[in-house]
Amino acid sequence: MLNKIQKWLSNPKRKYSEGLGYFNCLASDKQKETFEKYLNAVDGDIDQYDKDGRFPMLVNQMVFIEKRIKSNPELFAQAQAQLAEVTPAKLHFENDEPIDPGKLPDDFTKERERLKEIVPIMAKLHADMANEIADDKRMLLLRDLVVLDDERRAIWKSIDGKIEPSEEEVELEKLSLATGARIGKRIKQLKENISRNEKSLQTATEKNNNTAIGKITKKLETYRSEMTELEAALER
Amino acid sequence: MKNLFKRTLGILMLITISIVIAQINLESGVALAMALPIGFSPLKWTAGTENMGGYKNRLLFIPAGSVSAMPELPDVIAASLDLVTAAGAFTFIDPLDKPIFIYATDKTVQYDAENQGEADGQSFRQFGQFVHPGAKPEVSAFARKVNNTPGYIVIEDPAGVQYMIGSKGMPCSLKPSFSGGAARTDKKGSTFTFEADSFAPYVILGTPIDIDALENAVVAP
Repeated sequence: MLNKIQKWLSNPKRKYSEGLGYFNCLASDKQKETFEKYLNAVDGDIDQYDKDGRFPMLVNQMVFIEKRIKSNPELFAQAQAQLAEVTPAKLHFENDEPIDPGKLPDDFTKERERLKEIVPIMAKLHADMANEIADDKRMLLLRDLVVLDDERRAIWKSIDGKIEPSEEEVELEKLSLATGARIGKRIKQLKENISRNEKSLQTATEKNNNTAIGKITKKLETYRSEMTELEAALER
Repeated sequence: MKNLFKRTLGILMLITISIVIAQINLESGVALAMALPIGFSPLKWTAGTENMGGYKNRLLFIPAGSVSAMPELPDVIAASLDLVTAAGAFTFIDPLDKPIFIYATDKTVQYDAENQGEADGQSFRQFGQFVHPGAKPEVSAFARKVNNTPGYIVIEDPAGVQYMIGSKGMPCSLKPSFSGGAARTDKKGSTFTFEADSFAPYVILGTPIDIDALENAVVAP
């Protein structure tokens, strides 16, 4: 989107209607409050120096928008992804296969179309970077690439947010949490037991109490083997 | 342990002090030194690049007093290009006004910039000229009017890049002169020289104006 705005600004033959579309989509609340009604009160395209001064006003506002996007591209990419008017649909996916944008349901039409726009542009930018020698020009291409990539990630994040996990996945997640908490608690207890018994073993060794040494050693072996099993289960 | 702590603290203090010293805040679009993402990069020249000299035979003049807003250099510099690229539109106080289109004899539009100022105070003096042919009354009237009217000039190079001479608070001044010729083969015409002070040798207009539309304005029947 930033690329489109910059192209519009740098084109002496820019069209009012195109710029107005960008403004309506991207202007801040304050800008809309002040300028939206006035700028939208035209039909179609107007001259660059129309008698009401709308076009210069639009150009200046688009310059502000462009600066705002350049200074905070991540925030803008997320905000743009959230602009979708589609009501979030709760969907289920059977397995964890990678999702093909072409196979997204109709509810994600806007996201799908935007992804289809972005990916070839990113491919072209990659190719241009490979062909470009000048560092400053490569930096400009890199900047555009990063902005598009942020937008692409934000769109996927938005799609992920609209996908509801299956009941089984939810149950498994709950079960995993509870089990993990129990295992953690037991490991803590075992560590305390091991520490206490090691001190007892030391005392028994100093007193040459062989009976006590035998019992404590057996307990320590049991505790240590249980702790090893539980730690392995946690890592799984 | 104590020594390690003291050493770590010392290093942290050195880092903090060096960051503070590196923060230098200047006016007019250059925000921070050393901490800026911009810096010096190599100046290369790709083989085959076109570089025709001179400018197109047309330009625009905008009186400073007729506009409430004009293209400006950005306050926050994110890239080197921001230092020399002005963006925005001329917003006229009277919406019926527009930039004044001026025809110039081909190969007479000239623009240069020379360095000026003492050490630690250097800047650029932008200057140039153009010739408008003929001795029509309206040309003399125009010359009389712009003689003491500061403003901004927009010229266009053969590749279509537009440059703006004059900036907010440092407008361009025009000095017209007239030559009536002597021999029959001489041309009559007015030469307008212009000059302005600037931080940059040339400032590119990032939001170019459609000069074609101003040159061939459509008049409603």
